[in-house]
Amino acid sequence: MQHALLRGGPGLVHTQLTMPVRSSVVSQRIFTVVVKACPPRVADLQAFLGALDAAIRAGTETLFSSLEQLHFCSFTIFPDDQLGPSLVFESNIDGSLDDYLAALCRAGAATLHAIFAAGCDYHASSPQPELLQAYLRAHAIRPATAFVGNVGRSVRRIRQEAALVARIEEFLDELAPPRGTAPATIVDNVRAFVRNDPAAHWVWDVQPRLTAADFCARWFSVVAVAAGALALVSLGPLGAYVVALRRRELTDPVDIPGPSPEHVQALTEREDQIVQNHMSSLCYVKPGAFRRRTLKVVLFAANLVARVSVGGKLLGLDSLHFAHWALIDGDTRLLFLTNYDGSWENYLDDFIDKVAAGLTAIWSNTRNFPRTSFLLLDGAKDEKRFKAVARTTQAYTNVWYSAYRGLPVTCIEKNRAICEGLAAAPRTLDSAAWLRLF
Amino acid sequence: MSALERNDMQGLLLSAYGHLPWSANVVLRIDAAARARGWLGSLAGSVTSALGKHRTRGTNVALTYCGLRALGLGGAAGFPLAFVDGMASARRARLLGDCGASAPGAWSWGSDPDSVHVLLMLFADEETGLAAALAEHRAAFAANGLHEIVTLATRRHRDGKEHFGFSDGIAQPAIRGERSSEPARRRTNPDNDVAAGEFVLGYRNEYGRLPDTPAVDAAADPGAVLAGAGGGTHDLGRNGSYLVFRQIEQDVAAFWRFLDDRTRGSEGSDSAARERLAAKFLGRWPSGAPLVQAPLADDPQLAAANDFGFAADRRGLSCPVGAHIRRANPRDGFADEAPRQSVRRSNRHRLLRRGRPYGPRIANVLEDDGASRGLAFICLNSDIERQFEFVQQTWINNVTFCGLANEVDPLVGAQNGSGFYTIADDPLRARVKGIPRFVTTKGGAYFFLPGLRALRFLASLEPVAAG
Ligand code: HEM
Repeated sequence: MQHALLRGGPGLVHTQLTMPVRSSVVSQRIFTVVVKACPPRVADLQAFLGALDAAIRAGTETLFSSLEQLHFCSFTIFPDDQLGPSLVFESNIDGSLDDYLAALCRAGAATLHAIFAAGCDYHASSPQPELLQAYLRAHAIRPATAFVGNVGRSVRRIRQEAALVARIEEFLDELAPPRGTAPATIVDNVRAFVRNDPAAHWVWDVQPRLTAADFCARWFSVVAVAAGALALVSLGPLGAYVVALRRRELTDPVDIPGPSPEHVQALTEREDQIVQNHMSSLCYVKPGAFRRRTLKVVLFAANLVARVSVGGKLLGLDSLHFAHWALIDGDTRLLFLTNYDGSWENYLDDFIDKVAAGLTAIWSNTRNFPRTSFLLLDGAKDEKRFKAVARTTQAYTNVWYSAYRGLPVTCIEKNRAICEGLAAAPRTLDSAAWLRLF
Repeated sequence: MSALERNDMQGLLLSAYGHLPWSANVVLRIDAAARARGWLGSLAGSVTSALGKHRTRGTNVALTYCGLRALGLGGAAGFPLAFVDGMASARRARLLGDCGASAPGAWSWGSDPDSVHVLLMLFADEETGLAAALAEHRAAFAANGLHEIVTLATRRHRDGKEHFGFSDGIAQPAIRGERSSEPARRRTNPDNDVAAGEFVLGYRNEYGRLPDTPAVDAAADPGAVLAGAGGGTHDLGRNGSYLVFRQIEQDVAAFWRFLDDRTRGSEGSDSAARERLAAKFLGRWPSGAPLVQAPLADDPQLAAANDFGFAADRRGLSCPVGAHIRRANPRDGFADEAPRQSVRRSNRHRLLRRGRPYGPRIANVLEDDGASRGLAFICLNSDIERQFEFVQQTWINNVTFCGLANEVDPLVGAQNGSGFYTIADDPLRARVKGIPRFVTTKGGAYFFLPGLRALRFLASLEPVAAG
C-alpha cells in the first residue's frame, strides 16, 4: 500500500526544505527525509542498517565521518499497523544543503541506494547520485520546531577547539603556577604556548559568537513570540477555545498498556554507549482539526522560543545538541528526533523539571498523553505515565552517527569560550574569569 | 499526609539500628518452595517492625524477583523492570558501570540471578548475640529448603568510620512529617525533607503521586491478608520498599598509596597533604566535617554537620564539584540552577543508606595486607531506576556531571586509570590524573523489602502448578 501523502502531496514538500538557524559563524541545518518502506523489504533493510550501525561503531564504516559538515545523522524504521512502515533519515549539518547532499550522494551512493531500495517509490536500478539527491529532496519534510544547541559551531571548529583545549589543559598541568601567580601572567604563558602551536593558527580569527546582528535577532524573536501569542488568541474567541479544550482534556483517552519490557530492553540496550544518546519518536496526533490546529500553533511558538536560546541552552536545558519536531503524513503524525547528552532518565527528568509546560502543550495533542489542564499544566508532570508514553512512542534507532562522540554541549560551549577568549584583544580579556573556564 | 503504618513496615526503613552494631547479611537460595514458605511464615512473626524499640536483636528480610518466583508467586503485576531484570543482567551492569573487574561474570556471588533469592539481615548489640542468632538460623536452613550462598558479616564501628577512614552514615534524608526522622532533621534544614513515597510504597512521592506498586489478583489472596488496591487486586507493595545490596570491595592501600604518591614533597610523604587530597575526593574530612564549612582543615566540632548546601560554593573552591558527596547528592548546587529548583531536583534522587563495612580494618593504610574488606552497600528506595540507578549512572559515573568532562567519582566511580579529577582553585584548577579504580563490585542484587502483611501473604501462597 502506498500512502498518497508520502509521495509528496501538497503541504509536504516545501520550497524551503530546511530550517537555517541563526548564527554569526556557520549556520546549522536540519534535513530530514521520510519515506514509506515496502513491507517485504523491511527485514533486509533492518539487517543492512544493523550492519551499517555496527560498522560505524567499530570505526570500519567511514562514509559519515568523511562528510566534514555532518554533526549527527540517524536512520530509523518506524513500524505501524495502519500506515505501514516508514523509514526516517535525519541529518544535522553545517552550511549549505546543496553541498551536503552532493557530497553525501557522491560518497554514499551505494549505501543510500541499498537503503532506499526499500522505499516503496524508489525505482533506480543502480546507485546514481543525481537520482538519489532528487529522491531525498522529494521526500524531505519540514521541521516545525527545531533547536540547535551549539549554535554557530561547525563540526570542524568543534573538533579543533576540543583538541586545542586538551593541549592547553596539558600545558597548564605542566605549568602548575604557584598560588598567587597573577592570572594575566598565566594567560600570557598560554598565549605564547598557543602561538608556537602550528596547528592552532585558526584560533586568532575566532569571532565572538554573539554579534550585534544576533542581539537584534534575539529582540526580533521576542517580538515574534508575542506575535505567536496573538496567533494563539486567533484560534478563535479565547473563551470558547478554552471550553472546547477543557472538554477534550477531560475526556480524551489516556490509558495505554505501556511499553513492553522487550521494547524497553531493545531501546536501552543501545543507549549510553557514548556521552550522547539519540531518540526517535513518532506518535499520532489526536483526531480532529481542533487538536491539529492547536498543535501547529504551539509548535510555531516553540520554534520561536528555540530561536531565542543562546549559549547551548534552551530554557535551562543544556543537554540538547539537535532536536526537531515535524508533522508528517498529512499532519496526522508527530515526529520527534533528538540528539542529547547523558542518560534517557536524566533527559526526561530535565524535560519534566524545566520545560514540562512546553512539552505538555505539544504532546498533549497526541494520543494517550497523560491528562493535562489548560494545555500547559499537569501532563508531563505525571512522571511515570509521561515516561511510559515516551518509551511507547519511541522507536529503535537503527543507525546513528555522531561526529564528536565524547563531547557534551556544555563542554563544546566551554571550549568555545576559551577559544574566543584567546582571540580577544588581550586588554579586553578578564584573565581570572578566563582561567576559571578550565 | 497519611501517617506511616509503622506496624506494617520492616524496621530497617526507619532505623539504621545504630544501637545494634553487629550485623550479618545472609544470602540464601530457595531449594524447596513449600518448606521455605513455612520458614518465612515463622520468620514473619519475629521480623523487627518499625514500631517501637528493638533492644538487643533485629531481624529483617528481603527477596529478589527470582526469590519471589521461587517461593511460588506466579502472577504479580507491577514489579518494575529494573527489579525484574536484576542487578547482574547485562543491561543493568552497563548502566551501573559494572565492567572489567566489577563485571558480574567476575563476582564472587550473584552473577547467576537464580542463585540469589533471600536476604536475611541480622542485627545484634553484642558480637556473641549475633553469633548466636546466626547459629540458630543456620541450624534451620537445610530443613527449610534453604541454601546459604554467602554471608557477609558487617559491623558499625564505634567511630562510625568506613575502611578508607571517613565517618559514614551522616547524611540521610528526613521523611517529611515523620517523627523518627527527627534526628536527621535536627541536623539539617527543611531542604532535606523528602516525601515518604520516595522510600515506602503506598505513600505520595516527590511528584505528589503514589509510586507504582506490585499487586496480585484478589482471588490469590482469599484471606485478604493484603490491603485492597482497587480493580480486583490486592496491594503487595504497600509499606514495602526496594533494597539495593552491593558488596563493594575497597582497596584501601591502593587508595592511600595513590594519594601519597600525588602529594609527596621533597621530604617524602606528607600525611597532612595526603589527607587534604582525600577530603577533596570525598567532600568531607575524615571526622565527617564538610569541606564547605571547614575548607582549610578538619574540624571535629563539625563531625556530624549536615546543615549545608553547595550553592554558596558554586565553583567548588571548597568542595570540588566532582567530590563523592556532591555527586551523590548535589543538594542546592546544580550549576546554573536556582538553589530551590536544584534542591527539588536532587530530592527526587535520594537514598536511605543502610550500608556497613565488612572485613577487618587495615593496620597501616599504606600497606596492602591482602585482606578482603569493603562496604556492604545497602540502600532503600521506592523507584530503583529513578533513585539508586540514577545516582550511580547520572551522577557518580557521569563523565559530564555538572559541566565536568572526562571524570567520574574519584572515590567510588568506575575508573579506568585514565580519568581526571578537577579541583577548583584560584588562579587555576589543579587536576589529578591517572586515577585507578579503588573499589570493585563483588556481588549484589535488587531485593524487595516487603511490608509485614506482604510477608505473611508470601508465606501463605498456594503452591503453583508445575510448569
Ligand atoms: C565503597 C564505596 C563507598 C564508600 C566508601 C562511601 C563513602 C561515603 C562517605 C564517607 C560518605 C560521607 C558520610 C555521610 O554523609 O554519610 C558518603 C556519602 C554518601 N554516599 Fe557514599 N560511599 C560509597 C559508595 C556509594 C555509592 C555506590 C553510592 C550510591 C550509588 C553512595 C551514595 C552516597 C550518598 C547518597 C551519600 C550522602 C550524600 C549527602 O547527602 O550528603 N555511596 N559515602
